[in-house]
Amino acid sequence: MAKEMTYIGKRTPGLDERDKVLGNVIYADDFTLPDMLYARVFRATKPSALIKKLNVEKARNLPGVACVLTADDVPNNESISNVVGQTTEVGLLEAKHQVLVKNRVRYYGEAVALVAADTIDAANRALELIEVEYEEIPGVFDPIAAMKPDAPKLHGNNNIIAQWKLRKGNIEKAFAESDVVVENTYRTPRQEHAHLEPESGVAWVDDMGVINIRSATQVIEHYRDVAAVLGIPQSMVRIEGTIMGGAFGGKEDVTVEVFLGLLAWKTRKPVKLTFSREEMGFGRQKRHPYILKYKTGATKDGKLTAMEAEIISDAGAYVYLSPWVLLYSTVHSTGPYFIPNVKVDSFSVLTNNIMTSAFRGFGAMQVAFAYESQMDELAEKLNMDPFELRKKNFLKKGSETANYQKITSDVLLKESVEKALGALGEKSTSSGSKKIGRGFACSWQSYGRMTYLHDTSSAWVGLELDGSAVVRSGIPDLGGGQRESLRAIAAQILGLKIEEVHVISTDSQVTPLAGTVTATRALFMSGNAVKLASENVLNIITRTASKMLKVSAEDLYLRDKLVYTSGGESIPLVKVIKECAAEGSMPQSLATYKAPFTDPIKTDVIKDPVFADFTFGAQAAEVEVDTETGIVTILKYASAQDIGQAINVNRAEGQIEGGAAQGIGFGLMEDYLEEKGVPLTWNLATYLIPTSKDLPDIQSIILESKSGKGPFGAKGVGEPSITAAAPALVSAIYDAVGVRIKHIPATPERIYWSLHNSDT
Amino acid sequence: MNNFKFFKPQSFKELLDIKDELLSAGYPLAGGSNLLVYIKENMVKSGTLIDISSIEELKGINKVDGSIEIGAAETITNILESSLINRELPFFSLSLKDFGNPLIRNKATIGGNLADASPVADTAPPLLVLGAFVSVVSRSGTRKIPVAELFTGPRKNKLEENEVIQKIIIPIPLEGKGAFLKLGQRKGTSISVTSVAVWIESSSDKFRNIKIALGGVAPTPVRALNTEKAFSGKNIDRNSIKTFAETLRKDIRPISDVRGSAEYRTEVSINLLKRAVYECLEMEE
Repeated sequence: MAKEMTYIGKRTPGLDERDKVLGNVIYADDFTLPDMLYARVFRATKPSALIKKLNVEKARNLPGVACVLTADDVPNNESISNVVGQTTEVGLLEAKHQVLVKNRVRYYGEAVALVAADTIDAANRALELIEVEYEEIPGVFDPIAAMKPDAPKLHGNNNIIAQWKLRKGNIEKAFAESDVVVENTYRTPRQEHAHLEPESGVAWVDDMGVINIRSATQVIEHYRDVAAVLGIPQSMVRIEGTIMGGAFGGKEDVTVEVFLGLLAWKTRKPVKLTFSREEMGFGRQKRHPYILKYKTGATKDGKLTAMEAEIISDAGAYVYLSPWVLLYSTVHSTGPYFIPNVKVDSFSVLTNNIMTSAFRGFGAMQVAFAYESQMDELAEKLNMDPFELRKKNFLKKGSETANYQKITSDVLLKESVEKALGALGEKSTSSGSKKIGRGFACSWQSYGRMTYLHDTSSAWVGLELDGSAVVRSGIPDLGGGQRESLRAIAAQILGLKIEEVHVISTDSQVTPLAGTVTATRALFMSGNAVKLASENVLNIITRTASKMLKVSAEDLYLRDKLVYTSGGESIPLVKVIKECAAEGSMPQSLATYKAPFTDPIKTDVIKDPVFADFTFGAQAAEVEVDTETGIVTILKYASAQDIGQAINVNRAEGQIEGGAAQGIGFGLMEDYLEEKGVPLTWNLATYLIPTSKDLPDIQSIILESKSGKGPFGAKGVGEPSITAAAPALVSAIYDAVGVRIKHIPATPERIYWSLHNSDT
Repeated sequence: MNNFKFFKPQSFKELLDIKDELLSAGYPLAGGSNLLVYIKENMVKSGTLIDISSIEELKGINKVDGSIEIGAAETITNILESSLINRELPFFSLSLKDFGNPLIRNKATIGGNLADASPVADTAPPLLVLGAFVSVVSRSGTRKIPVAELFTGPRKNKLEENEVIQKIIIPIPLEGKGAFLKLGQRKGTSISVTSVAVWIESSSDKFRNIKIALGGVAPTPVRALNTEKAFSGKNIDRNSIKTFAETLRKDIRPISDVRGSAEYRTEVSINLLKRAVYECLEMEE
């Protein structure tokens, strides 16, 4: 490795940034092939119904239409996934999915048929010719109602599809001995990912008979799902990922891949499918809305004594990742605080609402709104500064969490709050009906997958004869610069210029499988894998060079394509590579990084470590609240995150800013509304996300404890950056006008009525 | 889009001829910021799109006999940047600064915004308090319709099937001051939850000729005639302004939708009206 940091912790412009700005990146929808068909999905327009008649003949006979597929045409239309750790109290252990509706529609927008045609116009016309007769059946749209025994059932005989528990100490005794107890119910919205790039892909069957799917996905391993649906060997499906224009968890579940695989397989022609913006509204998953009942106690000197919570998530009509999202919520439900007595019961419940699944924050975000609001209210009751209260209770390195997991990295929460609050500078002054307030919130968020999943990531690194390097890693790049981080790590280790390293990524048959770009695991896992492989290559080089230079290998380092001795002597890297080749020890390595492993979860009581490590951070806001309209203007904003070690400072700041922006949307305006399962806000005119005029200048503050499990001590930042935004804003609103919003988003109307005491 | 024909008339006369022939099946297309959305959402399913973007008779911003005349196909950006309007009637250009967003303002036209007759058309409340007219033309002649009479319901206007709006005529007030306040759910690219325009022609200690109009709180943009009456002739006193503004409850009939409840719209409209009056009178809040 080069002696000094050349790329780690620097602001190196990425090689992809210019291409993105110039529009040179070939995103999923930019790709076309000769004779390509265009696909559309026919979707149900009832939230709960039986299909009495489905007639696609007119559509099939329309000129230009290549095929119309229904459930009958899908080799394996239904699949089942098991949820670990669930007792028989939970009725449905086997979670069912269907590719296309066979008989029963469970949510508005569910896919019923697929069309592929010569032109997009013909495909659209074919959709209009599909005839469907529904018989509406009773649905259930409220998760609490859905938990009742007599509620209409979505699958099986119980709508609760997962439950998790935390049990620590004795809460009854602890509450009885507490000096203050606060009890509240919080609600969080159904947030839409609203990524700029819609779900999209092109599929074709190649001359070897392999189904190739070039799609925007966070998970190239979905080739296995395509193979399962078609009933063909996994080796006969290849997913080639693309650079994504955002995903945020929205491209974590299968999106277009199975539909494309089916259509290409049936037609033997290239097929393109891109979701429309409206389809992104009603045809795909959202963040789970939560109902969180919290009770928290403390002593009069501010020590937390006990916490009890009931957490209910609306899973929508199919299971997807709901049980795991709920597991995250449960583990993170205490916040980054040591609480000796904890009892948490959490439930994920099926309804006839739109399905919900992965979204940046993955269940750790909804609970942050609750646990931080509780801390603020406790501080007020104790007449204590909210930061003082938190300082007395922060987890520390070595602390044990409520799932009996020891914190193994540094916890820079105090420093994060100080930096975030400090960055706000002098407080603005209220004038007339416009009141100024400030707030902050802390968060913790795991990075890396659940350790019982035994996560691994592989990468291959090799040197070319001219000394340039190639990295192969399956990790997709969802726009955050995952590929560029790998480039920087390899360049750092091999002493190369960054443009001398080429990264080939996200191709299930070309790049070693690296796992998903989800769970804030890409840098942690693939970064470590590329570091390992690069170090192996470095070792091959120094071993050979040590023989050539007759010095010990430990004394050698690489810089500018020269191998140096500590005495300053050097030989060209290319000569060493030639020698390696002559010896038959090629300077290349396939390495696999293994995350910490734990035993599988056996029961629904979580009493073992679940995550490898956590990222800790704080966000702070100064807001102006207009008491006559309820409008909130964010005047100042700062987010401080201990990310262990920044790989590329520009990218890390991009994550911190983006997380804050999306968190601000979640806190103030975003909510996908449905009325009895029928969507009301399925386009971007009605589903509002913050515009540049709504967002403040977000100050990104990077702390580097170098204590993480990622490469060079890095922790993850993608998800942790979103978590504390909503509670920080709600706290600032309270500081400004004295009302605490418990049902976010804190829309102008909600704030207005909270101020003006109406029961609306 | 296969159900549509496209026609680009080469002259104003040709436009009037084709409109006369196609009647309601002919859709004048200027910026398309509404029409293309309606097509995409299947609210308009077929017809002929008549591209009016290069008809000279629909262009221009001029001062004529004490009025400002704005061609119907002038974009919102052109109006905002017009030195004539900024000099003669800065209230009107100021009132358009939060219209849509820069991209929409570059495409959307004033004629389109009025013809669309949305309850939340952001050009309407300011034009209502200014007593503006639209000049509409067909093969059979020209007539003037006060903006106050133009709207007959949500997305319904008084135009005959063969008529097009040629220009908007705004009499330049001899004295007074205006204010326009728009409240949306967010700050950028927002659709009004409610909007309030006020013009006060007063240099004395009494309210004289106060005009009030609102958007988003009734099936059409509306003048608040009862509220105007409540203010009229009264002493200017900051404490009574809120009381007079309460009269709005008689003038508006908002609905509840995803953007806000009827009750919220009513309350904030009153508060915005109070604020707009303060702004006209240059009073501190």
